[in-house]
This record gives sequence, C-alpha cells and structure tokens, in this order.
Amino acid sequence: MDYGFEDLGSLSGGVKAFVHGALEVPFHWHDHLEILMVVRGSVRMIIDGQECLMGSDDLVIINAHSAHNSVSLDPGTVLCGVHIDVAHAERQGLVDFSKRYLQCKSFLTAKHFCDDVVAPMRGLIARLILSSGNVEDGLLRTCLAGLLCCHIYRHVPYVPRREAPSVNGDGRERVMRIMERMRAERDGRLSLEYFAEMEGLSIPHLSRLFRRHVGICFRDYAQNIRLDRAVSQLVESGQSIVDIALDEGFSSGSLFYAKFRERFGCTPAEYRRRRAEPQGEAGSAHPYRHLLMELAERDDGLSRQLMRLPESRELVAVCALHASGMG
Amino acid sequence: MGWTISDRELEQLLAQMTTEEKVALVNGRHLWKTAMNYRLNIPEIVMTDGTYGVRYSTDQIEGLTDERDGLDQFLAVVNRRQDDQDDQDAMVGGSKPATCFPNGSAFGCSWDVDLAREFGAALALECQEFGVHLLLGPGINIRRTPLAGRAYEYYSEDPLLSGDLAAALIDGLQSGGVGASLKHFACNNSEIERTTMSSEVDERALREIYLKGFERAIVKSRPWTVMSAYNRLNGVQTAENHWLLTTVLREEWGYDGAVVSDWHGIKDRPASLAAGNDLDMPESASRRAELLAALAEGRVEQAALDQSCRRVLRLIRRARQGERRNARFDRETHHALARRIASESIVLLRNEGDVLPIDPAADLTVAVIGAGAVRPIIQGSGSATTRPTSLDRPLDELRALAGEHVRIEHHLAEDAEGEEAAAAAARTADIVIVFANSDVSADGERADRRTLALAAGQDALIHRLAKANPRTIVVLATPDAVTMPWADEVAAIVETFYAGQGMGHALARILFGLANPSGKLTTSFPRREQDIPGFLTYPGENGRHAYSEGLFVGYRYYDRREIEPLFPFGFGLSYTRFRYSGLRLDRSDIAPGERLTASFEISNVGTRAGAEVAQLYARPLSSRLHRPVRELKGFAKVHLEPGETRTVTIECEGDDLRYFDPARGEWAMDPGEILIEIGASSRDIRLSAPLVAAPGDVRLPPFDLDTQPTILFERPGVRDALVAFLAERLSIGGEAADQLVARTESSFLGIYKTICWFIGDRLPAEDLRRFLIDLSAGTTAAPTTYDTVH
Repeated sequence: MDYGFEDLGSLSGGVKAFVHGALEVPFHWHDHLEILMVVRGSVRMIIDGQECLMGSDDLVIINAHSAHNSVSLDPGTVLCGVHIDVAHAERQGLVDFSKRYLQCKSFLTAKHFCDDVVAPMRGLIARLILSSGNVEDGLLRTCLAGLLCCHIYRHVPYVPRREAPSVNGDGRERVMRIMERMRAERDGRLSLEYFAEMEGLSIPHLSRLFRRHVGICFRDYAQNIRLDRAVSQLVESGQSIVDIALDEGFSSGSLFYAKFRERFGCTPAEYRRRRAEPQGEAGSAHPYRHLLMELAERDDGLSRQLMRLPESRELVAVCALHASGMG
Repeated sequence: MGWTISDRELEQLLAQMTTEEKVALVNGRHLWKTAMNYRLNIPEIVMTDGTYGVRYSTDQIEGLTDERDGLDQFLAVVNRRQDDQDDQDAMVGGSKPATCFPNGSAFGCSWDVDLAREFGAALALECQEFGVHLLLGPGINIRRTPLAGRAYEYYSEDPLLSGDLAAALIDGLQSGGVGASLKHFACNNSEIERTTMSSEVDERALREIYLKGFERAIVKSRPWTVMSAYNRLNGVQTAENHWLLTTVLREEWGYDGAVVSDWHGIKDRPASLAAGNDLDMPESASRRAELLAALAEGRVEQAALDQSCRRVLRLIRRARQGERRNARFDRETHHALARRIASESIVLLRNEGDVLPIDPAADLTVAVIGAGAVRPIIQGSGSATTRPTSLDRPLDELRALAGEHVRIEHHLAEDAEGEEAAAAAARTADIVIVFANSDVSADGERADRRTLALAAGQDALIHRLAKANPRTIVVLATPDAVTMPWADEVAAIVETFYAGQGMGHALARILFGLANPSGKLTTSFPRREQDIPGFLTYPGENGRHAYSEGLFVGYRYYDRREIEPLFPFGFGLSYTRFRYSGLRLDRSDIAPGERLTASFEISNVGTRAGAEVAQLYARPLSSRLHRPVRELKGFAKVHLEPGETRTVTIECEGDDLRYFDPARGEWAMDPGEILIEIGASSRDIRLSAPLVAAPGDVRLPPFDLDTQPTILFERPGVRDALVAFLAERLSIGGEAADQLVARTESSFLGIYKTICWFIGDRLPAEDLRRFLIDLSAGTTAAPTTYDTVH
C-alpha cells in the first residue's frame, strides 16, 4: 500500500474494484473517487479529518483528494470497494462529474436512502468484483461500471467541489505535504518539533492544524507510521520482532508489543503468522466469493433501477446512438 | 450501526460546530428530516405525521435529495401527484399504505391503557419498516368543544383520561425505538384563525385542565419530543412562550426532551429559541437567517442555541439508536389489531327493547341504508390522514356474518328518489340500519364544524325511517358529538366516531352479537349547541378566544350547571348488565404524596361476556375555591364472563386530589371531606365512600395591607396577635387594642384602611405590612372552615 498520495494510474474502463480482509490502511489520498463498503465486521476510518465508525453494510464515498485511512476493528472484517476515474466518467457524458463533492455516508442517512441509493451501489460493486479477473467479462465490467457511475450521478447528493475543502479551512495542502514528508522520512525524525521548524510554524499551531485536518494528533500519526512500517517489515522481512521494533525507533520491545496490540488487535507474532496464510488480494474475489454473491443477489433495488433506466437521459442518449448506427 | 456517541463526545461535537452549523441543526431539512451534518458526521432522522397511523409521503420524504429551491420542489411534488392516477385523495396521494387505526376520538372510548400500549407498539413497527424515527403524535388537546376541527384526533374532554391513554401509547411507541411528539402544546382547541387566535385561559383552567394531561403523559412516559401549537396562548405564540416551554415544561415538570414546532408554526425564530422551542420545522432559510442575525446582534444568547443543539443532538442519538432497519410489519396482523381496537371503542348509546344484537340465525329482512355502508367514513381529514392498507366495508362484513335466513338489502338514499326507495324498504323490513355522518367536507384540520347537526338531509331521513320502522338502528360516523333530534324515535344508536380501516368488521360483529360493545364516551354529548360549555364566547373574535367557562370544561360544566346532557361523559351500554358492590378504601384520610387504593366488586349479571369501564370520581364536599362537582381520578376496564365477579382495584394519587391555587401559585389540598365515587358513567354513580383530606400544614395566600379583616380573622391566632401588636405599637393597652380590633371586624375595607379609619394614620403602613408578612408565614389553615360546595 502506498503512503500519502497514491497513484493508481489510469483505470481500465475507469473503474478498479478491490476486496480485502482486516487490514491497516494508512492515510493516503488519490485523484480517483473511492467507494468503500464494509461487507463484514467493522472499521474506524478518518476521512477529511472526521472519524467514521462503519459497521457491516455501511458504505462511504471518498472524494478525490480526500485524505483517509482505515483501521479494521475486528479480525474478521472484510472490506471491498471501487476506485472510479471521474474524468473518464465525465468523458463518457456525465457532465461536470469531477466538479462534485459527493456526500454519501450510509450511516448518516435515512433508511430510504440506504434502500434506494446505497443498496444498488453495493450490488453493483459486488458484481464488479465477482466479474474481475475474467478477460471475457470485460464488457460486463464496463457496463456495470457505467451503471454505477450513472447511479451515483443521478442519486447521490453533492455540493460543488470547491466548497468542500474550504470547510476545513486553510492549511490542508500544507498538512498533506507534511504527511507526505513524514511518510518519506526514513531516519526516524518524526518529531513535531522537526516539522514545525521545517514549516516555520509554532509547535502548538502545527499540532492544532494537524489534528484538525487529520483527525488524530501528530504523535499518534507518527507512531502509526512507525507501526505500519513495522508491519510491512514483519511481512516482508525475516527480521526478529525486537529488531524491527528497535529499527522503527521504539525504545523497548514491550512498548512496541503494547502499541502494536492496541493498533492491530494482535501480537506481532500472530500478525506475521496470519499474513503468511493465503488470503484474498485485490482482483481476486475468491475467498469472499460467498459474501459477495450474497450482496449481489440481495434485493437491492437494482432490478427496479434497471427497469426504470429507459427514463434516464444518459441511457436514452446511448440507445439513440446505437439506433443511429453510430454506437 | 446506531449513533453511539457518549455525552462527552456529544459536547466535543457541539464545540466543533460553527454557529451556522448549529443554526442549521435546530432547523429541519426539507419537510420531514433533521439537517444532516456531513462534515461532522451528524446523521439525519426522519419524522412524519400520524396520530393513529403512519402517513409516509414518499414524494415529500424521499423525492427530494437535491438542492433545488422550494418552488422547484413544490412543483416536482405537485406534478408527480397529478400523474398518479391511482390516488383519488390528494391528501394521501404519494403516501405509502399504512394501517389506519381508530382515530383519537374513537380510540379514547376504549378506556384501555393496555390496548394503547399495544397500539403504540404497532405504530412503532410500521415506523421502523418505513424508516421513520419520530412519529408526530399523539395529540391530546382537550376536546373543549365538539365543533373543533381536530377533535377527531384527540382523546377526551378530561385531562386524566387523555394523559393516561397518551402515556401508554407513547410508552408502546418508544419501547419500539420510535419517538413520540406529544402535541399540540397547548390550547389548540379550535381551528378558527388557528395561527393567530389567542386562547385566553385563566391559570386554574390551564393548570387543572389544559396542561394537566400533558403533565401526566410527560411525567409517566417521557416523550422524546413535545410539539408546540399554532395558536397564541394568553397573547403569546406558544412556540415563543417562555413561561409555557421553559418555566412550566422544563423547570416545573423536569422535561428533558426536545420541543419541536408545528410546521411553520414559528413566527419569530429568535424569540422561539429563547423561549425553549428547540427544533424549527420544516426547513426555512429565512428563519435561519433571522436567527443568525439575532445571534450576531446578541439578541439571543449563544448558550440558548447550544442548549437547543444539545437537545436536538440527543434526540438524534436516541432516534438512531432506536433504529431497527430490518423490522417488518405484518399487514394482516395489524389489520386485525385495527379491528380489535375498533371493537373495543365503538359505543352503544341506545338499545331500546334490546333490538340489538341482531340474531344472525333468525329469519329476517334487514334494510341497510346510506352510503356509509359501502363507503365508510373511517378517519378525519388533515395532516393525520392515512392511506389504509385495506378497508372493511360494513355492508360486505354484515353480509359475511349474516346467517342464510337473513336477507340484507342496501339503499344508498343519496337523492329524493333513493330516499323514497329506502323508506319503502324500511316499511317492509324487520330491521333498519341507517349509516349517518356529519358533513365531511366541513370538518377536519383547518376548519371547525359549523354545526353539531348531521350532514344536510340526514336528520330528516332518520325521522322518516324511524316513522316507517320503529326498529331502526342508527350507526354514526362523526368526529365528536352530534345533536340527535331523533334520538327518542329510533331503537338503537351506535357511535363509531372515526374508527379506522377495521371499523366495518368490528361493527358487523357488534350488530350481530359476536362482540359485545364496551366503549364509553370520553366527552359529553350536548342536547343542543347552546349547551356547549363556552358557547357564549365561541368562536374567538378580534384574535382573542376567551375560555369563559374556566375550568368547568365538559362534564364539569354540565354537572355544575345541572344541565342534562344528551349522553354524559363515561356513558356506554353493553349487551350484558354489571353490578357494582363492596367499595372499600385502604385509608380513611389522605395527604398529598400519599396514595389511595379503592377496591370493589363488579359482577356480570347478564348472559353475555362483556367488558365494563368503571370510573372513579372524587367529589370534594368543601372547598376554599370553586371546584367541579366531581372529577375523574381513575378508571379500569374489566372483561367478565357471564356470572363472573371480579375485584377491581383503582389507585388514586393524593396529589391528583389537589387543585391549583393561582393566589399561591401552587397545587393545594384543602382539609375537608372528599367523597370517592365509583360510577358506570359520570351520571351513574353506583358506589361511594368518604375520605378525609388531611393535608397537614397548608400555606395560604399571604396577608397584605388590603386583606379584609374577615379573611384575616378566619385564621386562628391572628386576632390575638393583632391585638398584642396594636397594644404595643400604639401604646394603648390591651383592652383598648381589643376594642379597636373588634370594631374592624365587619369592615369592608382592607385592614390598614380600616385601622386608619378609626385612629388616623398614627400606625406606619410599613410596620403593619411587616407584621402581616410575619403573620402569614406563621399561620396554617384551620380545618373545615370553608363553605360546603352546593
């Protein structure tokens, strides 16, 4: 997983689906729209500096350039979602799609919104994931992706894009930059003092600014970076756990154990063992196939949506093109 | 997952909110939601109308998730509705079908708190399926006049009955995770100029009648919200009435929920917030702007905004935690419940010669007359109007229950020709059942009825049918009382009020004796309009509506004036007979804070199973202030098999035996005797037993310089104290002082002026005032010094 800005490149068909189990996803942002949903378990996320607790069936749209992370709260958690290239969708005819700051957090909305707007998104995403990996399903994926974009375009409320970041006030770019540098910092200088001096800010000012935009304090974020690095080392290297802890600047093994357990819900040894077991990766829906099938087959209003689609201006335009032989 | 946020987190959230965000939160979003805060993750909740059924308007709740302005939204809704050919009734157009239960005025007649709880639980389940967090009911305004347009929504003319039924319904609803909105607070008792009219009510009437039911329901069931009313109360808009919403509701009653406005009921948003009206519904950009301006100028304190925000946040938290997203209600089960409630609520007012029930196995011809048999009137019109899930038509239900030898013919009788045919049929039929109703178009929210008479032509038709066939049964569908000039001519009268979608079935079962009627009236039916309490000052004029009858509302008025009502409060017949016996009280005296338990036996001495509503009334035999002859203080509904006897226990709180003394600004109990009466109605007292009111020390109104000597000397010790005081202050010796006091005794002037009359102004007024204040603090009431009532 990339830290900070994540460059996903261009997405084939404008959409890329993923599914994964309990996982630490550190703070990052990207220029795609992301839809994330909890299939099972629960996660704590921070999106645009605001903590979101999500349970099974919850779904959130993360707008392009919104910093976010996610922490699975129990080991059985399964998350899935899609990245959408809004520029691609815009080129397909969804006018000004990229100018929208979409507002969709299922846990804030009324039941009818969950039934009519969120549930079809869940079904479409599940179908997208289920059709991933097969070359011959390419056209199907394109159709599903198009439907998903049309659905969002038509039903998800939004505010004009420019207003959104200003809600958090100035300094967002600066905090983003600091986060990026913190991620890049390799020699352990993850101190508030260091970054304050580098940015020419007072320590309390940076502390407040950071907390406002990221949702957690600088010290915790720095510690998380160290823990996240430790995690990758656990999986990628054969180093001893104590060595990894010392490498990442923890003063003692016991402190590392305590913080690790606090963040990941298990000991480093357990984590290493679990990660060594085979599990699902992006693009391969296999281990969660039954869960996704359940979602895809649930009566989510998608069929009703499809029945109503001839009313949709977008689809009418597409059909007209086909009819005129130009499609 | 519900919105699990601790009190501390809630405060932190509040601290993060900008003033604009707070102002947005205490205003609604669109018509039926609270404002979601996307930035801070504050969820939205959904509310909708319905005091007796859920009115879930798909258009209004779901249709508009975008940012179009009001006019666009209005047009979108209006245009969509016109497209919907299935909906004949514009009021319920676009609503999801939901069970239409008996309306308040019908359901009240069940006098059944357990049923109210079941009713509330059923409403909760329907709300859960629709995703509604807050149901805007129940309404418990006092049915002061039967002409009131919204009388059909309310329970009774009596606050105790209203409060107890509401408390149970709210309890059932809120136990199901859905919030109630107890409304309309307060004194919305007429629809005439309803948003500008000031209900002018004296404080005793307010406290003892109009607020009492609210207080009772709030203390017992803690509704999540209370809804302020459209009208003004004693000159001040209720939504802006600090005394009502803060002093009484919160400080005196300890209410900790939120106050929500009636829709567009707030005229001055800053004033309403300062008064304690937390949530302003529905969304209004102009009212938000007014509030922001007032905050900026310091006309409203930030603390008031924070307090209202806090209450709205807590409301949202409760509502989200109560959510059961997978809940589903079974249409059949709820339809059956609607039938059962209707059956418990229908009132048999007259049954001469036991014409009812009709034997379904007999060989007879029944002429059913009137449109109500096929197009039953099951509910009133207004914001509460529900689109039923199904409908029992009385004629179908009668045919379904009739035996093979019962021939049922139906005549609409909607024009002269039809009436002719109906009368002809009546002459040859064995039994006539005529469906009658008040003028539907004139009635409902937004308009009071203009008359207590039935719809045009119906009185004449009933006269005619009764003349043609003495075995004529009148079935009424009316919002509240109607006059019945034909009452003595017909054999039976069945009042259904507006009994919901199961009325037809319940009625048919009652008419054929498969169910035994057990409803009893919750208002008095006058013989004529002129007998209605407050008749002389109804409706209000020049923006003021004087409640001239004071606390003598409903039966309290008829009893005190000794006016014979057509049917009294608490009245209703059964197919069986009940005998009352053996009243005993668990105590001989009572003080505030104590509880009386009255026990007695009721026997079913008839041949059918049935239910009886027994009523406990308190009748003060002496009183310092005017008191009603008797007031309802408790009730119980018991089901009895033929021959069965059961002991019935009714409890009564000593606190409920008090009256409100405006002079002292508090509830009071006078020492003296109270008769505890057990009645089958307010005019059919079967048992009674004496109880001594022994309140202990009683604070009486303080004396002042203008207190009349006779009042002063009523109290023990005062005379001697005054003699001593004057002797000392005027240095005139005890004997002279005693003579001076003796001369003051019969004076019509106040004590100070009387003394001056005799001795000039030698006594400084201030000295006497201080003496009188000390005296007031030290005196207690003498027992039984008051005139006996009547």
